[in-house]
Amino acid sequence: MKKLFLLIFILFITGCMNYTELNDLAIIKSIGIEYNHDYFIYAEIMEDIDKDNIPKTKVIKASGKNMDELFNNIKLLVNKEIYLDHIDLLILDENLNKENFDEIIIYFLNYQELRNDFYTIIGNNIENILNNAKYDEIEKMIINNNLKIIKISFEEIISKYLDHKIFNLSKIIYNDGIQFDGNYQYRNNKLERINHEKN
Amino acid sequence: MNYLNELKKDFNNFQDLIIKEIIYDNNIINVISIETITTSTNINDFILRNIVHIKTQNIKEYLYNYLPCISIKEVNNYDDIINLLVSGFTIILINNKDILAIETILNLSRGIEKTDCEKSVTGPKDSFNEHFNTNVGLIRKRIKSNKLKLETINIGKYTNTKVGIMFVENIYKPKLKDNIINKLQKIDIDGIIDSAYLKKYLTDSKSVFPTIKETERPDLASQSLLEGKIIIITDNSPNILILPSFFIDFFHTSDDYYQKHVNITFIRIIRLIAFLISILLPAYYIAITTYNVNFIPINLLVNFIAQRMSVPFPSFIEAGIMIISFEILRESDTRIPSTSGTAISILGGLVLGDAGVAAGILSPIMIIVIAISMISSLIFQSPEIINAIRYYRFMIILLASIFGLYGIFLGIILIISNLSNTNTDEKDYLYPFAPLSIIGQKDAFIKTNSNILLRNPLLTDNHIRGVK
Repeated sequence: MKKLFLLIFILFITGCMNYTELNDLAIIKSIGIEYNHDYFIYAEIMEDIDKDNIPKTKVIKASGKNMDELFNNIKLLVNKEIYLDHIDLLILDENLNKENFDEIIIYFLNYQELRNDFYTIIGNNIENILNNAKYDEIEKMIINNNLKIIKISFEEIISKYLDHKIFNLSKIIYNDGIQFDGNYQYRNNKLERINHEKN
Repeated sequence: MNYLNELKKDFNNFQDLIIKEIIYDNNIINVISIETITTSTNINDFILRNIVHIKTQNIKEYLYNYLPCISIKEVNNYDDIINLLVSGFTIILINNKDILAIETILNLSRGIEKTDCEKSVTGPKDSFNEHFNTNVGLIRKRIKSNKLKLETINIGKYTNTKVGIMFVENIYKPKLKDNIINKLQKIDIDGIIDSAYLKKYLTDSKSVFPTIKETERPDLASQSLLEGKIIIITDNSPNILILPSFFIDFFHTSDDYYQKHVNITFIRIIRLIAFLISILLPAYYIAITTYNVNFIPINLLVNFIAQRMSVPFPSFIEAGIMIISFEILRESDTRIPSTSGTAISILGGLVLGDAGVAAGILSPIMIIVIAISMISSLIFQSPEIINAIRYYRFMIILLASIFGLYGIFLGIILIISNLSNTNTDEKDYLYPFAPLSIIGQKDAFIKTNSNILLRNPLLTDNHIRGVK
């Protein structure tokens, strides 16, 4: 009798802490971060799936003074829990300096349920890029070997940044279609443009 | 004592009792029988016709030696008269002193028919029926040896059912048979209606998994006898019991020995996969979509979200509704008369399928998951295993909806510990896995084509087949 009581008691004190309903998740596919006296974030959230099995996405914009406030503001806008486990792409602005890099890297390192193996590129006017790109178009351009875009994941960036080594990133712009626009290198605490041949 | 008056008093309000009085030369001969369980043509042809030719005064000697009946016996006391009368014998009372009993039992059973529940593709298709002698005969015509023994015992105060135990003498272990007979002799019950009544008294284990196998096929019974098992045949019951039965026996059918060994290995592995799917699949789906969402790739995740948008219930309640409706459908399917069978199954399919999804109560993926799980459990022939699977399926769903994937592993550990704890007649249930025997694996899930076939060493000392 005591054993039964103990067993039922144990079943009830767990509290169902990790229980999430599927409809309460906001699945984020790509993030774009820029800094202009304040952090701005553009998040591409997956919504629905079409008849031809093509997903529909929408872009949400939020601002804040540091990274925590940024993600909190997204949560308030969308009214769902943020689900960062499926991020495919991170777009950074070309004007980010050392403090911005520090804060972004520290936030993504400490986030629990995040795998840092998404691609990273640089972009200008990120809202335009994310609104006009088709589904998976940027990722397909990165994987395509003919275009010579540098394929680097955020994990490599973190390890090279913390070892004070240099790393290269590519840039894309939107000009009637997504186009490749040159390579950048991180040295002297900021991103500088380099030529094609030196690569 | 005056047998005739006692009989008339005891069989008061018993309209089927017939008493015929024959008077010959100051001797009174009474022929007594119960009309509904004796064949009157037999009595007329073999008894009454020959009583006419009596010429001596020593009537009992004459009838005992010259009546053309092969089973005729002398009776001495009154209780035996009653027992023989209600079993279908005809009693001849000579001058209220000498008593003879002649067997004239009417065969009230159906003939030998095709198997109903355990079908086979190739292989014999006859099945046991409710007559004791037919069942024993079907086994004796397959094992034609004088080492196949039969012992009988009568159980039940009002029914007095004949229960027979068969075994092969060079192969069985005598201790097992003595255990069984001891247990059967201690039974004190009003009546045995079916062989399943005996199952409760024959096992000690309280586990959900069955330890005694029931079958209606004579070829399976003969195969089990040649492996060293003991079978129990009950009068008025078409199912016979085979003990002891291990866990692996419920994954074997008698068809397995009639086809090539490679194909049979494949089918046995599929049965194992069906067993695992029917227990674990609904719980796995619930755990993945509520607690461990990281396992699903992104396109499938968006698909699930789109499907679950319209459902107001959490996953556990949705699964509960589906499982209960499926069980109701399955139970009503066995009870419905065949005239209205198709209409009801169409209704069930419509309700659980399209209408539920269109009304916004169920999601299509949950219907698929539960339907696959239910159909996989129907691959087994024994209803006891299907009930055990249903019990554990529900328990694991409960654990998964509280703890997630961790709960599923807890449930698996519980099932394995329950399985290892059962024992059939003091032998381990999980042979050849739990006391691991490499030689025993040759016929467990993988079937090999070896020339020397071995018997189960737990059941017999006589290991090698073909040796007496």
